[in-house]
Amino acid sequence: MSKVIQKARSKKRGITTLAAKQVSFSIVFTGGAGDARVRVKQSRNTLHTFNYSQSGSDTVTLNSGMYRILLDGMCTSKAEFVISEQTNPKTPESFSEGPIDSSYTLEIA
Amino acid sequence: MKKYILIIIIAIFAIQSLSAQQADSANLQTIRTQANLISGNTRDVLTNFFQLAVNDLTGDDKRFRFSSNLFAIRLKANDELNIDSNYVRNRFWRNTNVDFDVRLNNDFKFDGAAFGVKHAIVNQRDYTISKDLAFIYRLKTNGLTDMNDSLSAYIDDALSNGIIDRPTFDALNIELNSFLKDPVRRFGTYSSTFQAIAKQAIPFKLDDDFNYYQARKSFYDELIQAYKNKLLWTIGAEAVTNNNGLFTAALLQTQATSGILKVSKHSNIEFDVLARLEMTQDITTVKDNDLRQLFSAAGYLNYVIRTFEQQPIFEIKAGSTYQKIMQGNFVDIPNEQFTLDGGIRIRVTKSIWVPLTFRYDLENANLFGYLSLKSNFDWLGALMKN
Repeated sequence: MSKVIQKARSKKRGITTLAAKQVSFSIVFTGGAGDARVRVKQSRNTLHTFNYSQSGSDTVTLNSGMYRILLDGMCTSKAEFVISEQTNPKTPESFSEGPIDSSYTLEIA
Repeated sequence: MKKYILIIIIAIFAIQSLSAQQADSANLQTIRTQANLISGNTRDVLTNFFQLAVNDLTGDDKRFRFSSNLFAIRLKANDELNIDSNYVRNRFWRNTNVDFDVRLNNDFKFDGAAFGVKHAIVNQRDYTISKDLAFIYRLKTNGLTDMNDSLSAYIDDALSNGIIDRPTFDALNIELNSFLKDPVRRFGTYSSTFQAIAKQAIPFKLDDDFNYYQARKSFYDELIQAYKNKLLWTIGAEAVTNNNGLFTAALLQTQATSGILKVSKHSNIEFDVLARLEMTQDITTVKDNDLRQLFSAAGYLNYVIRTFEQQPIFEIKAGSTYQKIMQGNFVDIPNEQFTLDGGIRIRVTKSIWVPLTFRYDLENANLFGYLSLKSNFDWLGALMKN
């Protein structure tokens, strides 16, 4: 999707300022191994994908707009996922043994 | 002859229950574990450990029993060990369990002790460090993961296309996350808007009873069950001292167990092989240096039936045992014996089994069945305790 359309949609939602922001993701597995995938999407387009076969973190730069962050995977004991910016639902989010799934919305002003 | 057979049974029974001798009375005693230790630095943990020991030894029972995994103890002093990279690295500590039992007499003098250590040389059942588990899980659940993608995209589109307003978007987002994570809530209980979006986003019909988390969890549980059927090989040593601090009994043991045939989803056949060397001071003489050494090796096939929750409820065991008295045949029983053994175990409650065992002496061609007295005492005692 072109930046023109993105900008127009941002305006439609009342967002007029354009700024880039660094957003960090981190996942920590405790008490056993785990596996997770984090995807940053905007309007069905996947902008970034991070795969974690062990605890780790990454940082991306995102322009103003609405983003969808999808998390999926599994952990054999416990996991905690953190996004440095405010999201809905909020993080840190903890997961117990079994599947890991979440879908966050992130809005960069 | 019957007398000898009886002696053999008692001897076998005594050997098999060497480590369990303390376990019988343990039901009546407090067994301390790492859970009783406070967290802190190494010095705090050690101090707390010795305080615990002193409290128990000066208590009514005058006895201190402790049983724990070594890694769990270290975790008390350094919780960062639990982070996956550290956790995986500390294989030896995770696979080693220790236990000991120290007793004082009424005059607070040393009255004997028992020590035990067990290490898993091969532990393929430990799925928490498996590299394959995540890969297979992802392969099996790819289709379900796509649901999250589709639903998220449809909800985002609905907002950006002006089909829904922001409050509705936020509400749908909450429902979406509930749909992904709630282990109980059924699809049919979500709002009509969410269900309508799901019907458009997902290419197949979802039943009202559908639960996304449980669907994913069932794949996970199925994979975990497969690990419980894998090889576990352990070695262990135990020692018992008298009130003079001299060793009166020692046991070296190695055991391997693995599933070999999956009969159905709820039953499988596994093998169990063990060898042990038992050294005990002879209790029928007063001499200090009369040492009995007994070697035994056994192999069994075990047919296990499990419930829908994969809990074993019924076991049939068949195999054979070879044993040889290497030193100290004080009661003049045969030095070597080869028997066919079998047994049935039935689970009556979550933690209580009722065992029935039999042994067939090939040399003496004598069949006799008996209820294991020790085992019976265990399950009966536990049942009464519950």
